[in-house]
Amino acid sequence: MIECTNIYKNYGAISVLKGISLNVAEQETFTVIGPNGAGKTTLFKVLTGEIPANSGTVTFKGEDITRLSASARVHRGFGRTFQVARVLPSNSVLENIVIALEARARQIERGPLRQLRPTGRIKDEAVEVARRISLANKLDVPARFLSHGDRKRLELGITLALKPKILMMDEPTAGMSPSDRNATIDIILHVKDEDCLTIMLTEHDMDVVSQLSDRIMVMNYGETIAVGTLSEIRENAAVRDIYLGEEIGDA
Amino acid sequence: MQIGFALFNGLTVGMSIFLVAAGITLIFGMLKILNIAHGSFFMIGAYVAYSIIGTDPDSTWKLVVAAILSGLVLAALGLLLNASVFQRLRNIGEAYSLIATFALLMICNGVTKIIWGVNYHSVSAPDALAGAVMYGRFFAPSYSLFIIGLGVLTFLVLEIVVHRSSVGKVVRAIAHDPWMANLVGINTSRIYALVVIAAFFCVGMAGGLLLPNQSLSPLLFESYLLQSFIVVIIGGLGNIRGAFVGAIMLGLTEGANFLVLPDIPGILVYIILIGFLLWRPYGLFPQPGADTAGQAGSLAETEDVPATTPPKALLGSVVATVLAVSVLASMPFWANAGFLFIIGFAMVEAVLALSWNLLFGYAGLTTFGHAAFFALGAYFVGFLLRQETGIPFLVLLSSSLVLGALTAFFVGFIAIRRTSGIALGILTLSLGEILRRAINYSPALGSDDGLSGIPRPRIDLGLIVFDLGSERAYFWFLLAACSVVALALWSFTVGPKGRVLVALRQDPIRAEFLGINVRRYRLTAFVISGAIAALAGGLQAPWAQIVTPEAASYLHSTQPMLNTLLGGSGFFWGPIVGSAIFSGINYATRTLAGLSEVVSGGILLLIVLAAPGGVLGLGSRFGRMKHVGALHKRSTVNELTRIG
Amino acid sequence: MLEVAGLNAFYGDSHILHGVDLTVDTSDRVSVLGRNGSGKTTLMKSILNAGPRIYGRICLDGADLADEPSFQRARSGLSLVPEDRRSFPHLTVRDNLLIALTAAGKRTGLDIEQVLDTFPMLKPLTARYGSQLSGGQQQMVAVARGVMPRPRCLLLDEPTEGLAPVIVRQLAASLVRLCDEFNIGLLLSEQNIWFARFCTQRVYIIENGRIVFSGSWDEFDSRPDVKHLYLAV
Repeated sequence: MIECTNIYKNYGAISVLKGISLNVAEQETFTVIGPNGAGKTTLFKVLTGEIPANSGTVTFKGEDITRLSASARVHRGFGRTFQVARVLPSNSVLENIVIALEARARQIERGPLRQLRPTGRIKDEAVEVARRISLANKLDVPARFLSHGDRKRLELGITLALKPKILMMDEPTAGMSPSDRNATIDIILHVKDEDCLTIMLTEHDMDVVSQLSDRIMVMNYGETIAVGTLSEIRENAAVRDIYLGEEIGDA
Repeated sequence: MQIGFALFNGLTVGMSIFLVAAGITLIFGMLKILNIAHGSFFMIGAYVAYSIIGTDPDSTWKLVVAAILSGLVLAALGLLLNASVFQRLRNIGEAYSLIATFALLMICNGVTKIIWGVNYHSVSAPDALAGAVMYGRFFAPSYSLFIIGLGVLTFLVLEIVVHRSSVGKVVRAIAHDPWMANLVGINTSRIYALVVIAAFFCVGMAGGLLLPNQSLSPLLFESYLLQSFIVVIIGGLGNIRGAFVGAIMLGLTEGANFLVLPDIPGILVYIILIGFLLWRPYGLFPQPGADTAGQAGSLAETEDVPATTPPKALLGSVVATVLAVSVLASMPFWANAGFLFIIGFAMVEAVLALSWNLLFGYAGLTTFGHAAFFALGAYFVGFLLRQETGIPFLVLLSSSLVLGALTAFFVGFIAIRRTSGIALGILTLSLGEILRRAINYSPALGSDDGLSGIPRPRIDLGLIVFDLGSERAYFWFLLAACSVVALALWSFTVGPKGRVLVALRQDPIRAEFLGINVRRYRLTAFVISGAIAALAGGLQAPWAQIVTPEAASYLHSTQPMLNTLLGGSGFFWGPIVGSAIFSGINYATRTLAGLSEVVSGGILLLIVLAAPGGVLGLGSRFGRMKHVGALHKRSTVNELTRIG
Repeated sequence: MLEVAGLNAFYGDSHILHGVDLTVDTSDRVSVLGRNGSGKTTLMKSILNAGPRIYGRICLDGADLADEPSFQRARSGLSLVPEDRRSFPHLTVRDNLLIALTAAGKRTGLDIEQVLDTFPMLKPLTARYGSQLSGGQQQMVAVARGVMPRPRCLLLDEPTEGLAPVIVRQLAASLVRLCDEFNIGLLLSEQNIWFARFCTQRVYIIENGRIVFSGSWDEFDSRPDVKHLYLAV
């Protein structure tokens, strides 16, 4: 589905990615873990087109997309969520979703965008998306008044509204309490199933990682340390050393 | 020989500018306030020194003492303004603090006129500095050497304080995170006050020391203002080292201008500046690892975004609009000619402001050179009407629209690709200045005097002919045209495109990841905005019957900004409300020479301090407070039910 | 040492804290647990008078801080490490630590080398700028900066957020060592119960801006209802 080879990226003198290659299969959930500063977020930025790599190639479904802009990648089926949720703070939950739906409609057909108000179809669809992310009771609340967890859910919602083929999620449960975390895992598992999504994510919480991932890649200082299933990763001595440490009690 | 002399002169100019720019850099670096009034404080410094030593200072010492005294006077003024104005500005958005300092500029200029009058004075250099120093064939005026020495000295002092001392570390910590600085025990308010005082002392002293270099008049504020800003931008905002290098570069460019383009003084700077901004939008010395993403952000506040769907109670809005238009339409029957004239101007300015707010309030782009598009349209229509070419007026207007759109496309295509935030602002400002200077030195366009006696046209539609020759007829035409434009813009902004713009204004990265091509939409907004600004110019030319280069000046560019922010950029109709209020103030204070600036500046300042968010923002703020309260109650109830 | 009584805090019209009472004794280490939005961060900021509008008594060593501004509270011995870290981007790591000595006021702060010894991860980074650090490194800098003035009480707001498990362990060890060695009290707001348990002796649970439980970890363990109701674990 998505593949990258030999990605290098540096910010000035500091090189952040040193030859990363990976290959995510269709409908796989692929998790990147690693200590802070390992380059996980930078890798995400390169894969999604937010920043260009210094060298290396990215392909998506066989097409070379290395030089495509982020929006062009979105048109090809990328959906992206951020560590700190990016939603439109001054717009309501409904408007946030409507804007996403209209953005998708714009790629397909022009018709529904000729009238000023969002069409009834788009509105119904928006309410349906809000229901999926359990925000149907907060449709008119401006996003800046939402709690942290709700905001992350809304972000997931507007991303799903784009009907992506691959979902790129940077720390989907960051800053969430255990209860919110479980709810988010449920939603992700659910939508993955319903929409047949391929998912790539970064995450720190090993609980979340173990519940979601098919395969895991461990990074450190911009390099790949190991790739494999959860148990393979847990066995790996290098990974224990730099990331997991001794298993931590009930955290 | 001539080259050496030009470059030496350039260096002197550069150092003079640095002396003024240092204060702007200090204040921006710390308080994040771009102090537009700084040039006026420089002027006040010069006048204070002039009051102390008169026109013929007989010794260098007297000049220096006078400069220090005027530095002290300005420092005291700084202390006062810090407590009364700057401190409050820290809590409101960048854009609004910009208007506040513009208001200060108006007040200062008014006060200067009232105290010192409008006459020119010229102060000679003291004897010791009046001569020249000879080096073989090369001679350097002593006074220039004096200025260069002062510039270098000031730089060294600031450089050591900011970059080499522990004070500098405190200053840098506060500059980037005042909240956290407070938490590590730094008394930020005191440091702010000290920086403001230091900046004002510098500018007061600069006013005194540079006094012998120029003719003293209430226009002095302008002579260093723009250059200082350029220097500050080139250097990377808030960076003393950058400002110093920038000042030297700018001075040398001025020198080179004298050699290569003696006919159009001052134009080369802008051309080079534009090239520079496209090459390095973040200045010469962006801080190591600086968060350029933050800098590239927009100046627009994200707090209020305009509505992007038609209001639910459409009937009410229709009634209100019809009522407003009818009142305006009835004016030629009862208003006096002077008032009618002002209202006509206000309508055009309102359209100009609407077009500016399409960029600022919707697309999140801040431009400082919007008047350039206006002037383009005004000169285009004015010139062709005077030529009596016989081209139908409506064709002329449409052509001005197209001309504006094309120009905006070319400018935007390059500018939006490379710059955003303040860099884009300064780039557009420079383009405006280039246009103004080009007009200023074009005899065909009437140079300084502009085009006067522009005839009012007839509109021949075959079946009916409208003669717009009379004031009354043209007023109605103007009203109709402005209403149509406003309505067209409104329907654009409340449709799907408006929603896209508001999305990318709030978070361009999120917009990009919604699959919205951010650059293309920004360009679209830029083109529409430029086209409408040019149309506004085209509409105004036959109303005023005169077009002057002032139409393109940066002072005119500030007008749509002031109108928009005064009314509230978060509302589509904000710019119109602002234009109405501004014109009202202007009309009411028009007879009070000097005082009028003080009064309108004062009112503006009060509004900004009392109502950041604009006049319309005041109303919605009360509404929102209720909303927040209700929301909070509701969420508490939710939580409780969940737990229970 | 630190006493909070009847603390009410507001953001705009929103009433966030409702009469919070809480104490941290000298060298005492205390956790505040609660869900997102329960008021943990507001509590931390309120104690420093750094944001919310506050009403109520906050005393340090018996002296009422009344409406003292944050910089003075910092100087009298309260040190807040905010959840978003906020290392100064344009200062080096070393200067980030040194500048915090301003908060030592009349007391003497710690020696920077001592602090760096406790955070070995920072040693190779001292010349880097704050903006060149990763999230985890910034967190270390923020905590190290927090202890530099040798505060009477260190307030840590969700320090483990976004940290790798192995770094969480390092941080816990360094923190306990520093607090023990220099008699620093600790008020810790956390979501990570392992970390909170490792670092502190007592626990408060906050929900909707009210303290709903306080006691030792043993008492906490004997109340599964509390755990379930307020933390959903």
